[in-house]
Amino acid sequence: MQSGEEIKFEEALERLEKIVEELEKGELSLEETIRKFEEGVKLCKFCKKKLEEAEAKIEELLEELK
Amino acid sequence: MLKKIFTVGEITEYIKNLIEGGELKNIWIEGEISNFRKAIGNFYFDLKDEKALLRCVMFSPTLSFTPKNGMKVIVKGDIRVYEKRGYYQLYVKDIKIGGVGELFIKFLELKEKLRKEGLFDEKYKKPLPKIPNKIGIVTSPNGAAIKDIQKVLSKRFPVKIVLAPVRVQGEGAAEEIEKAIKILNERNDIDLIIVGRGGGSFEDLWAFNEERVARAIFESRIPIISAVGHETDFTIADFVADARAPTPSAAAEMAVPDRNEILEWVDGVVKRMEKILGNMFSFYRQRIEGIEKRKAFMYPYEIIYNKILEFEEVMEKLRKQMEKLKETRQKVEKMEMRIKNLSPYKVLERGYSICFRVRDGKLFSSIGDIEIGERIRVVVKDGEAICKVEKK
Repeated sequence: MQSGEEIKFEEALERLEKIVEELEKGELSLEETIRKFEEGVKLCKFCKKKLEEAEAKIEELLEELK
Repeated sequence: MLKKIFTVGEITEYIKNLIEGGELKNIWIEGEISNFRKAIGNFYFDLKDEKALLRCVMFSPTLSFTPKNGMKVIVKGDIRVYEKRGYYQLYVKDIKIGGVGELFIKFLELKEKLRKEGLFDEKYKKPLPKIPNKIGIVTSPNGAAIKDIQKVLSKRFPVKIVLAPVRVQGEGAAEEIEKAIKILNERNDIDLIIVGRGGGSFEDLWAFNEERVARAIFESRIPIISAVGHETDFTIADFVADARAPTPSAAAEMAVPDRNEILEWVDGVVKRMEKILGNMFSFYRQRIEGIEKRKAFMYPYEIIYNKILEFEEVMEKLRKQMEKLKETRQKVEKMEMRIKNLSPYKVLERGYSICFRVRDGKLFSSIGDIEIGERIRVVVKDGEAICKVEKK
């Protein structure tokens, strides 16, 4: 991830989609593939973490409103 | 010796000068009236006692009573000589009934003296308190005065009293009255004093004509009502006091307002206040009624329902957000699955291996990328090994 932790969720998701598409095409060199793959895995983790945080927040709000 | 033959006129004039040039002016003489007669509005009478007789004439008399033969009186006037008749007589200016003589003259003299000093002046009269806190009463503990005062006070307005018991007649009475006034003045709870006694003869009332009593009354910082004897009795104390009451009962009436009058007044005030309060209440009632007619009071649930609806909307938004999140999550998870399937390491499962240079961690795929003796990292499906290039 080039821009560190400051990347936004939407951007991360977009980038992840792009990486998956590129990897699926199978036109990359092995080295390129490994690099993209590792980035993809990191973005994946990041997106899941953000999602979990958002869900937790909303669940907290719903709980408060009950 | 006067060695000269005088005419009657001359000698009479000489005698006249002797008598009228002296101090026989404005003198008081005590005696009994006899041979009283009235002529063209003037009084003619003789004043006599056991020893002598004095002719008297009073021109244009202004008296509240008509003198009678046998009446004991004190008369005031000038001795003058009536040349034509060859006798002296008293030209009367005033007549007082009574046989008190000396005392009465002392009374008149003291009255005159104190009047000149200004002790009776209106400017020194202190106002009486509207409702006294505590009244000091200087009188005899056994007399009628204290009973009368107590009776009137309890009827009109029960106020606390402090009795300063004194003798009101006889030797030492004046001193006791004087001292009582002074002692009451030393207290700080008394704001009115009544000094007095019931009726009695002129001599009985004498203590209230003593100078020391007059001065004590004058010097009192607390207002004083004098109440000596009956309606017709006047004493020096009456002239000096801040207020004169004809009797002790009247003094009590003067001292306090009538409770019933006050209650009536209070009643009036209360009625006025009630009216004002009533107006206020109806004003506020109208305002409150106006407010009650407003939506909030007429339809309180509507407002609550609206709030509930707003709340539901927020809840709904949050739920939608949650759903969207779930969708996104599914998307991410799908992506994860796809990326996992795309793992370049999958080939390792089929028996391939991938080699990296240890010196810079770079993957190499050409023999030219490595040197003999260099260490390389060989990754296989279930692990990795660091190897050394021996030959190429």
